[in-house]
Amino acid sequence: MASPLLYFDKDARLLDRLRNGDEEVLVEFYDENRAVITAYILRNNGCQADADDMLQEAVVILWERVRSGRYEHTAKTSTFLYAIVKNLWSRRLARKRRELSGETDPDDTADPAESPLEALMETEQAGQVQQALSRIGEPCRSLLLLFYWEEHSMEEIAKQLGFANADTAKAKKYQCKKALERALKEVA
Amino acid sequence: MPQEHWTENEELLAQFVLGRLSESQREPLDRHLTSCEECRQRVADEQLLAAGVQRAGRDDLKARLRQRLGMKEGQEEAAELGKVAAAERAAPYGQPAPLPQDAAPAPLRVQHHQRRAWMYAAATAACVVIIAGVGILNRWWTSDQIITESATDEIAVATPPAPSAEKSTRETYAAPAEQAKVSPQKTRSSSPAGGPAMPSTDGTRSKKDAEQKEVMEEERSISADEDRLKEKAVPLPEAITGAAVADAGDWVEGETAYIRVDKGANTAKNEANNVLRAAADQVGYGQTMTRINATISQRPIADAPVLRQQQRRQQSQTVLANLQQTDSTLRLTLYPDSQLNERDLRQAQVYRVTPDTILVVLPGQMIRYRMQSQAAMPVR
Repeated sequence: MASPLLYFDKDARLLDRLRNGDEEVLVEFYDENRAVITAYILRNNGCQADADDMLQEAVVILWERVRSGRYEHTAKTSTFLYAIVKNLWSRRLARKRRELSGETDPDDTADPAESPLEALMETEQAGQVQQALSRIGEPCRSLLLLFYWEEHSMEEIAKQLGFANADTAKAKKYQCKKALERALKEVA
Repeated sequence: MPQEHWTENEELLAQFVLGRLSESQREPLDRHLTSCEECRQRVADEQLLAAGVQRAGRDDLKARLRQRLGMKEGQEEAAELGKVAAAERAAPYGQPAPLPQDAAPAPLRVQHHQRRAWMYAAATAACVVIIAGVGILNRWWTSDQIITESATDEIAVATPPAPSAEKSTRETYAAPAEQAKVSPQKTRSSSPAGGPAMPSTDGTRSKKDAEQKEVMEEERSISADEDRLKEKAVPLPEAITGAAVADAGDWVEGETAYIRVDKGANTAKNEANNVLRAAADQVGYGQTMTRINATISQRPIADAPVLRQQQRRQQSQTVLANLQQTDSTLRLTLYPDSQLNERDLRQAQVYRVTPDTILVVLPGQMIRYRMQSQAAMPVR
């Protein structure tokens, strides 16, 4: 009988599954970190719902980093998630403080630590793009998500969506982008 | 670059917006933007598209995650989960999988009973495995220890030549990290914090105290981990030669972990060193990594004995290997499914992590071999 060998470490196994697109792993990350994150948020003027929201956000960011190849596995994933939550929560608290003090100038509310795209994501216009994206249908929606969100290469996209090659995927991406722009005009 | 209006290059525009360019690549493009209003508008448009798509992806994934969490909370059985997975495979990318029509939650009491029964079974199985493992290890290592620093029956672990202060720091870090495993089931089923205090028995209070303690220890562990990351990588112990593992023909199956760390120039040696640092982080700080004098080669999997090929688990992340001891060297022959790059193989190093575990460190990946089952014993 084959030996019941253990995985090198749990993190490595879970990250491998994440790289392969297994979303069930997100639940495992969530479960394993919930107690610690809850304790942190409760200690810092938050409630259980805040903790759940922050952790979901952090787990999704972990997914993005891993899937786009930008995640460096140099520490435990729990450390990564904790750091993300701390960052997100301090931003949210700062935003709340500004709102309470009546500072509504967008320049004041902008967080210098946020990337331009992250800052844009919160805007109404980004919400319109999101709506427009839901109108353009498949495979354009998938293609644009793979390209802009998961940051896959054209070769990978061609393979996943069954295009002949990267050039075909690139041409299709151009068409899809134009379709999204048209849909955006309708939404706006 | 830049060409007349570099923003007309779709690929470059996307790379710029997604932050995939280096500083030196960005610099001339930024300079061009300062004098081109039309280009700035194109960049802004592209940023908005990217942000909107990313938001859609993020929101969709969060919705799917909530659905999964809700399903788990709702005590869905494994069969139902299987149906969802099947439905999801058929669903288009990014669309939440529809819940199966017949996915009705089973009665709560039955599920608790089933879960508890499963836990008892798992715990019993774990005990049996541990007891069997200790017995096998004892037999294996008492005759063929890599490094023996004690004459007792216990396997001695080599003390690292690292400074004692550093070692104590690492050990204090390791201890809570190992102990502080919080049961998700417990935390999930507990009432939301911040709610009214309920009367509780001494037993439940002590259980809660223990859980609280575990959480605090885990947090302390994470903080220590964060602090440690700010420091430079800890140097590993010097190589120890003259190692011996076992007599001829130990067949073992190793788990592969792929690690991509982009630090320094992209050379095989750098990659191997990066993996080594990652390995040092992962093996746990109560343990040391001792380099073993080893020669490593590879052969096609088809060259392995048929019996071993048949016994092997059919998983892509395992590598069959044969370990043989010579006078002063461990001879390791890998039988990977697809042959490794010779350049990578030349950089391979072997480390003993625990008395029953060795680690083969290669550029971009490491393979762990554990000697804790009958299958890992020599073929006689």
